[in-house]
Amino acid sequence: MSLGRLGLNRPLTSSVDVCRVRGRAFEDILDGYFPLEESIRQLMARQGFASAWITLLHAPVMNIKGLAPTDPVPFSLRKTYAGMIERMDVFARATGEGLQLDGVGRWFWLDPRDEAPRFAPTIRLGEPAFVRGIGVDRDHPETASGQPANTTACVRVPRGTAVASALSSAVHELGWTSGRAWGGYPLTSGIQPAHDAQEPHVLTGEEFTAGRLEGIVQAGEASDMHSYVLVDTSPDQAEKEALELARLL
Amino acid sequence: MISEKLNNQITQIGPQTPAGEVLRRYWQPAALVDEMQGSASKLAVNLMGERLVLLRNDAGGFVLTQRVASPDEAPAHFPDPESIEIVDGGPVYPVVEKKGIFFAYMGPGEAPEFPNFDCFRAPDSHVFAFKGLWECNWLQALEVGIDPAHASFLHRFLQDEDPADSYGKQFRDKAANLDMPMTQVLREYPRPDIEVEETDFGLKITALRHMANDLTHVRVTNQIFPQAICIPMSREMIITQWHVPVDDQNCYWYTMFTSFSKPVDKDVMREQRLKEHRLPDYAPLKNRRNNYHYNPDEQNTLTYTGMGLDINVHDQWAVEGLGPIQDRTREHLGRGDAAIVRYRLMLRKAIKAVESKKEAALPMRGDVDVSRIVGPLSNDAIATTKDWEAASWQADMQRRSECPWDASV
Ligand SMILES: [Fe+2]
Repeated sequence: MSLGRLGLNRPLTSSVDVCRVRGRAFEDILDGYFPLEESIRQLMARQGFASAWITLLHAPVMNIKGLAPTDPVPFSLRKTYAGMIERMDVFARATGEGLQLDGVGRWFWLDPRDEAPRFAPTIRLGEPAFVRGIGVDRDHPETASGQPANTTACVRVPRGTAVASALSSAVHELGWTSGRAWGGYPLTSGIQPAHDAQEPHVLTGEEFTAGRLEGIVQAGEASDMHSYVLVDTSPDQAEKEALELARLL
Repeated sequence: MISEKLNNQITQIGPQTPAGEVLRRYWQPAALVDEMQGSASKLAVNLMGERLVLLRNDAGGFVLTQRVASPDEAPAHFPDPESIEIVDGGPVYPVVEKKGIFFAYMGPGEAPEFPNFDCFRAPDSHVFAFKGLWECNWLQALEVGIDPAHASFLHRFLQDEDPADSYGKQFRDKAANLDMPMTQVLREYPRPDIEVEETDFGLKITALRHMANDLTHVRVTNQIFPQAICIPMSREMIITQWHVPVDDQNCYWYTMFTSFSKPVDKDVMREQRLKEHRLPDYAPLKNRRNNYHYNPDEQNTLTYTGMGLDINVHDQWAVEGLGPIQDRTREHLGRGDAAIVRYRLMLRKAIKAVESKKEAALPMRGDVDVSRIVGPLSNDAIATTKDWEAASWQADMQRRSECPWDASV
């Protein structure tokens, strides 16, 4: 993943990269009935985001055979096409061609034959879905002149580093007392099923308090780093509304 | 568009059903105190798919237990008290009387405390309770109540009444301090912006109607988890209404009308409503079998539906018209259905919490001190600036400060 694409500023350290970004916690409603990637694209356009972590909970979905992504939704739903997302954490980012969706989730289909190793981005929501997440603002002239908000950051951690202490250290470096993190997922491999024993570097909103990194960390190559979006949950931050939202994530 | 199976999950309420188990974690209105006349000691109650009887015990209290019922009796069957036979060894559910309604707790473990909502807090003189039967599933009955846009269409009045004649009627008062009847506001501004906020009792739903001269009409209504709403009726009164399943295909609305300043004129309120219902089952006189007294001439000149001036009939027609259980495989929700979307998420989360034995995560359960939950704020206000939140808050505070009972929040 390229840092520029996320609209990041200069890294603050070389071992664990911590970059403040213009972004914020948000809540919104994803439209139903369109392909998921289209509903997310519209959400990001509405919110002015270049990338975003989005959490979906208890969202009905439908996988209608033979329906092209641009086809209108049918009048009624046959039961064999229905399913439910129990929880899904999706990282969406605008690419040259469109939108890339990666992430991890738990979902099921009423017809087990619909099970697939990936959740296709063309699957449609069966209802509009209320979602929360963290968005990184699109880099455009009006926002570039302003000060970056001090509530979101991107963090890159070398593979092999203890993620918890790296993120505690990042929270410390940002001057926050606590923060919540999403990420650590390979970015380009689509939306995969969550495992019962999730790899410890995959984070879906875990909270970290400020701490110092102990031990020596080797900086890795860009391809050898886990990337995270971090949101400020410090009780003493200036923007109370941002805090309230971040706590709800 | 959800499958039948996923629809069953959120609509069916019998014992051991997912939504039924959620509803059983809360006090349910079981009967009106008006129904237990004089020295009667038994009253048939049909609740949550169970055939029950309300019993007066020797100590003067009440319990709910099972009664013998034939499988072919009507959903809202009310046998003569003398003919009711009790099932030996059936469950015994605790009952409490609150402001004219008997509430029953049909769930496991200890029943939760009652929150300090205005309807429970006001003196008896300021609360009037009534009920009515709707022949449809409870969820569609609830969902019309959390859709702030429908009032501009379904309850559209083509002529405005003198607000002086508005006592005890929904939407007929003046809108807040504006010299405009509520009916005109709804008619002329049919596309509200809708904001939904999760609260400790459920949802706060704000509908904003941006009007001429930079005025904004702010209407705050609420969803009280799991199946009640709290909405303004007039400047004087608010409505707290539960949609209580009789079975999967029938429900009662139970309403507490709570008055802030003056005592409720219960005789007028009862008389208005008894004109529209029959006893003993409180079935509405206008119904599917008589086409809800639909009159095309009236529809041409007076109301959107042509079904009379009682807005309850409009809602009843709208929700019964969807069928006994709304077929949600054919449903298409939009962004205006924000509160419905949020409510279903809460319900599905609650279903999951009960299934995974995390009941403390349910709204108003667990360690929450529910006696501290007050209000909820529910009113119509006119904002003259962009700060509509302040205008709404101020209007409610003024009403509360002038109130003879303690309505402070
Ligand atoms: Fe209505």
